[in-house]
Amino acid sequence: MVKPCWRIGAGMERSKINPTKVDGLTWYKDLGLHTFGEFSMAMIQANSVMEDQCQIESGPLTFNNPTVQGTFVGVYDGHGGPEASRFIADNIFPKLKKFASEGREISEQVISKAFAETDKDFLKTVTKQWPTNPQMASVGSCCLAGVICNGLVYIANTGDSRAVLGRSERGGVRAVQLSVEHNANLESARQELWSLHPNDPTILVMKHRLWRVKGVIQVTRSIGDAYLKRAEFNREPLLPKFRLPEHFTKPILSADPSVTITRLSPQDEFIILASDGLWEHLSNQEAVDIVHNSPRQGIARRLLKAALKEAAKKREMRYSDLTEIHPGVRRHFHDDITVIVVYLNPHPVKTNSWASPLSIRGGYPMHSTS
Amino acid sequence: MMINAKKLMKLAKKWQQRAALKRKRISFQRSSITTSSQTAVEKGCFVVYTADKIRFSFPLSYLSNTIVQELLKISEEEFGLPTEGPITLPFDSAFLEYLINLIQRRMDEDTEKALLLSISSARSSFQPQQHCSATQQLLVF
Repeated sequence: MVKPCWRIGAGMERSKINPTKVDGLTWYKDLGLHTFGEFSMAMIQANSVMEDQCQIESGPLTFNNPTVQGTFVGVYDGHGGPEASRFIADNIFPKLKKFASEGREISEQVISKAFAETDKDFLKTVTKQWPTNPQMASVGSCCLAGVICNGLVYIANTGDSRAVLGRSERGGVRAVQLSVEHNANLESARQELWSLHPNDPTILVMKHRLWRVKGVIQVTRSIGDAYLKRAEFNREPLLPKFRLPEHFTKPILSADPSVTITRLSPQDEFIILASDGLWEHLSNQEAVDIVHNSPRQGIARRLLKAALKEAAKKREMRYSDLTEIHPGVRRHFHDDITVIVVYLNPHPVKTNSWASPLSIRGGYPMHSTS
Repeated sequence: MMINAKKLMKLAKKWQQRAALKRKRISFQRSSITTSSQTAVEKGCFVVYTADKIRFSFPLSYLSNTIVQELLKISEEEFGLPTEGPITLPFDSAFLEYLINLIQRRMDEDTEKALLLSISSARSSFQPQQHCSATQQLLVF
């Protein structure tokens, strides 16, 4: 039986050496140490309930092979409620460890299996709760996971969060996108859906000048969203806005991650993993430039602030005023944002750091309004 | 105590400024003549545009008003949450001014409920082409 030792208090970490902080709607960990270097995390809430979740786990990646050490980073951007993203944060890492233990190593298959089983188990929960809480069928989440191990970085993505590598180049830094995204507003995602559903003329519908799957959702893959995976949930008492007019037999959304594997080189400085709330306002290059040119301490919060300043500008208001807006109505000004920066280049790391596994979870519980 | 003319002038000026400031806080200007560089970013305010491209600037405190929140929801349903620009409401400036008037009159709970109901029941008629005429006929009392 898998008994994850890191589930000690939601939003907390077990080590007092690594305090995390909450300041209003912002949760952050300015600087910490993972297996291969330093990291920084920050989140800001805009929804009435924080729908983003994140975690970083560093240390052994299997239960039976202590030589497989590494860092696991997860960013989970929920929609329709916080249940799916919280479920991923509770389950995906233990599942990854379980599958990695079977083969005594990390591989693309191990990560994909962890995604598939997390989705399967969440759908089981939806089935169980259907009689009392049918709206769980319309809750889903994007899932971005990065695993750094043996000089490789695996980036697995379901949905539209993004991982970007900062690679030093002639005095500057170049952005290399590591994640493949699944959003109906990307040509590749649309082509995929059209080829999977050739007989469904309404598989993609343009709404508010944006493409949406069945006219309801922008992401083309996700964890959860049971109502778009199994027809049994496409009925009352699910809210009418989530019900499709026609019956379907084939799942419309899939939970399969797109996985990329990159061998790290000495030029690779850091990876930024963030929910789309950040990338709506910062380009890949803008983000890597900020990280490259700023101190490490508090870098995730610095990126957050840069994104919020951009959001304020677009809404023709002051940044200082934007930060005064209460969660809930604040969603009209920006999305929940999660950003994690993981530094890669060898930095003076204490030799005994392997001995102390690290586990930090962010985003729950945060401010909640009724 | 007597106030001399000079002092009186000064006082009047101060009051005029204050009144002007108050007007400005709930102000609007033609967006056709505003460019981003000209747009003054008012302190303590947020901005919405109406369908006829008029810019309204409200104090942040309006965000806790139920009717304002309802208007933002309607905007989200009509246009989604814009990632590249300001918030736009799917009705014209005359209707928004009328609503502001009602909000400022501090209506009682029942009136507010009736107004919310009439806004949401009219939602279905907020079609891009015909919303202007539809919104003009809302709740008259």
